Amino acid sequence: MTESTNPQDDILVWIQSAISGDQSAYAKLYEHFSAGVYRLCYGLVLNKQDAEDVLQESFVYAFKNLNKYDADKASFKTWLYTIAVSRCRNTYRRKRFPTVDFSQILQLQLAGPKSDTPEAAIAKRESIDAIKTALIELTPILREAIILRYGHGLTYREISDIMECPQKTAESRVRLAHGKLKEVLRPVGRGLLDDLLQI
Amino acid sequence: MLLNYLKYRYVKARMTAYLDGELSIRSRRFVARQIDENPLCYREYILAKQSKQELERTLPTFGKADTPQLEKLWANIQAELNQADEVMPKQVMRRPSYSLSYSVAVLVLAIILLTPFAIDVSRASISPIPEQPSPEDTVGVTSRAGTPAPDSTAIALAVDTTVQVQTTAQSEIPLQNTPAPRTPRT
Repeated sequence: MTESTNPQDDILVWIQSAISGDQSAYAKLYEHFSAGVYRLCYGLVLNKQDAEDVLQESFVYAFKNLNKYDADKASFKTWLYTIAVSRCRNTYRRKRFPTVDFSQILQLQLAGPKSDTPEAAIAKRESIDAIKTALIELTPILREAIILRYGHGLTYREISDIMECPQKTAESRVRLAHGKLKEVLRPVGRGLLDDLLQI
Repeated sequence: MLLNYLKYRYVKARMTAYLDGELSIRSRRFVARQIDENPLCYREYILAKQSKQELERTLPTFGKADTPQLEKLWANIQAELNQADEVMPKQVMRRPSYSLSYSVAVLVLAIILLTPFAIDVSRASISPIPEQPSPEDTVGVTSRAGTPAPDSTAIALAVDTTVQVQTTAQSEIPLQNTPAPRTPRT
């Protein structure tokens, strides 16, 4: 990923260049945002193929309508995430029930970081599986809120812009989702909790 | 005991907000004091904090894409954008047909709206003059004041001058086969 002193300025320059027809500017924008958008889409649709489709649709739409982007209203990231979330919602409507990509789970089981000890790798995988199961149980609206807040570290203001709701509503959705996830994650962290309470 | 339980329920409901720093100063102080004093609240605080840390650590790594996958998708996006550029002139060519279809629709709508007026005007020009009711229709009709209606013949004589002329002419014709009026003998 391209890092610079002031990414916001760079992004605006890339947008202007892209509008004026510079193909490399499109590539820079894609390189900068694609990983984040993919993670967002995957977290919402919970399926690799659907996440890829949504990412592709979102970038094609964004690049075609780049001249409609208003930097005074929101950051480019917020605008792009709004498009992606909207496309994800279309996917929920089409599929009704989210499907789980088991191949991805199997891949996660096989490929662990080399630095991790086997116990740590197992604990990490269990944690990811538990979170995935918990996310499936959440409603799409709550899932959006929790993914945007803890998965992408967005502020409540940005979440409310993306989800097109008041800021207080965004806060309460995150709180509600956290409460539900806390119940699901409770057994996973039981050992750690006991350790903490013994100290 | 009940009071402690109620306080625990209150703290539990507000724990996420407490961790996110969204509570008012008063509520925040109350929750903090309960965490210090009540073991149940402390346990709830540890659980909430732990799950929050777990989410903050795990969710950013959830669904991480690898570089070849993103490059493949970029190639697809480029292909789609190029395809869109090629299709663009056709879309520009379509615009007149859209405007033409709109104008045709407006024309049809205008015809539909104006047709009833046109039909009314034509009907007004060819419609016959309403006829006067025949004398027979007025027989037996009483006036509003309750007096009997005048004789239809009288109306006809009063209105139609031709009838009056005819009656005048008939009075001038010498009567035939009728005896001459008698003159009184003196």
